[in-house]
Amino acid sequence: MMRIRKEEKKKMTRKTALIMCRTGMGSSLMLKIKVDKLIQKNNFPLDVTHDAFSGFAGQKADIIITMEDLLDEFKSYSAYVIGVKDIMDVDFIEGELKKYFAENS
Amino acid sequence: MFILEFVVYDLLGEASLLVGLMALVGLLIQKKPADKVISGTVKTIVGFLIFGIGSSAAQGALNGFQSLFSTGFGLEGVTPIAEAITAQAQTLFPMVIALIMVLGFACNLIIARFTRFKYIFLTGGHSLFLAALLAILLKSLGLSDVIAICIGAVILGLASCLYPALAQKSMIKVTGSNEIAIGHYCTIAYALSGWIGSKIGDPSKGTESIELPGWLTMFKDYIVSVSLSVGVFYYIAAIIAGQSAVEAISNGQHWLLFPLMQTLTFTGGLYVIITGVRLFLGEIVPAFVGISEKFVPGAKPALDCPVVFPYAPTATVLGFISAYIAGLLCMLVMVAMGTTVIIPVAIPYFFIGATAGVFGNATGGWKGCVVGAFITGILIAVGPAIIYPIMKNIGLSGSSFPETDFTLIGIIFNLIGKLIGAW
Repeated sequence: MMRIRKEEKKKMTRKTALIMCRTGMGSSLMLKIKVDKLIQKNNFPLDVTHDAFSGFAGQKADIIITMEDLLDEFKSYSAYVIGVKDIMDVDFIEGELKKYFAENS
Repeated sequence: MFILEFVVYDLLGEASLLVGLMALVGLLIQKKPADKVISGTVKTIVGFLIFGIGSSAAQGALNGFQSLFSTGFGLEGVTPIAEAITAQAQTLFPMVIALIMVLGFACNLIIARFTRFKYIFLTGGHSLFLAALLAILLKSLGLSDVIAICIGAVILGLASCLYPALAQKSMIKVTGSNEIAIGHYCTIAYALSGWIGSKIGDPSKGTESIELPGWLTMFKDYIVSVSLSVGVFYYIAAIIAGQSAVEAISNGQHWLLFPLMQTLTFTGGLYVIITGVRLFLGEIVPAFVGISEKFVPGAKPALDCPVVFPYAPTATVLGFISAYIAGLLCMLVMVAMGTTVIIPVAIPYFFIGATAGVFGNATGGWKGCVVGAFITGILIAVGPAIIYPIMKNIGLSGSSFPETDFTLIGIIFNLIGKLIGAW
């Protein structure tokens, strides 16, 4: 049993998520706290950093999480973008992350 | 004895290490694994140091602007950016600020636990700014560090609970629920904007059906927004002051290139400051969240203003423009009156004007958005001018706090200072 679980873990490659807001110190930090909790709860193989989106250029990420009104800024990127409207709606973020990992693992 | 002296005066006298120690305790309380504890502590200390490095870069560029503005117009030009003035204050009273911030959070918890004002203020940046303002005010009353820290912490705790409560009625209209509060110290303006909206407009005629030109959204980017708005005024000041005045301070750089390079350097400095704040808050705020959830279950988190932006994105742009026009008009009036001139830098007008716009829109549609943000624009232009003399008295210059809630605290302190004869 243990062995199987270990093998499963090995197979899942770790993904990276960037959480963006305008200055990278307000809403993105709150989002990061919520996402960190979800990672712990669901064991998502996900590494999270948060930043101001001015500092976005040149950073590679599989997932971008941001407040919904900034969605347009990330239109041209290939990453999976999650736009959050209600910052307390953890279920929505969880659903989106589950959807991503169901499609990409 | 020798070791105790070393710990108290040398080790903890270094504010960055003191802040690191607080992060360390916070991480241990949360029972984080050892690697997270080490990396979190190191990042907090480095973040606090980066903060100071950005300060000197931004300040150098700001000094040039000030000198050109005063040569050109014979008036003092002040750019109200909370990050810049906080970074300046941090070089004067680093320890007082750090302790007011952390002990103020403890006061916030106690007040939220035992009164009906159940709000936990989680916008770390604004707690830091308020701690800096309080350090400036209390130290200029001539108080000792210990007394300044104690009084400052109590005031910060009160502000953390009372200000979000002030805007909560309007906040419910904005978000459609009573789950979160606004944690941005312009609640006077936001509550006012919501109230004005309800008097003059109709929430069913909202902003979100209006189409705005796409280029306006470039102001969303911090770097672009600061560079453009500061650059325009830097050039105006340089051209009015004239070639020789610029060459006197430009170190041989061409006088028409100098304003551009100084503007970009200023933006760079400001960006370094935010990066430092981000590193430093990245460890402190999660600890605040963890502790408050345990100590005051069911309290409402008061969060940074962009959390309301998704509810009315168009109102954020309209609100910014309306507030900015108010700021420009105020600047012209100040020049005409010959007072200290508040330069409308885009950043405070964007965040504060946008939020006021969202509040006005929620209660009064587009009319509420435009008028509410306009009044807010006047408040954040006049406010920094009112409290600027206090900043100057203690040796800070060129910047001031735009936040309306800070202005009120400054005015109250001004009365107290005059009453007891300290000022």
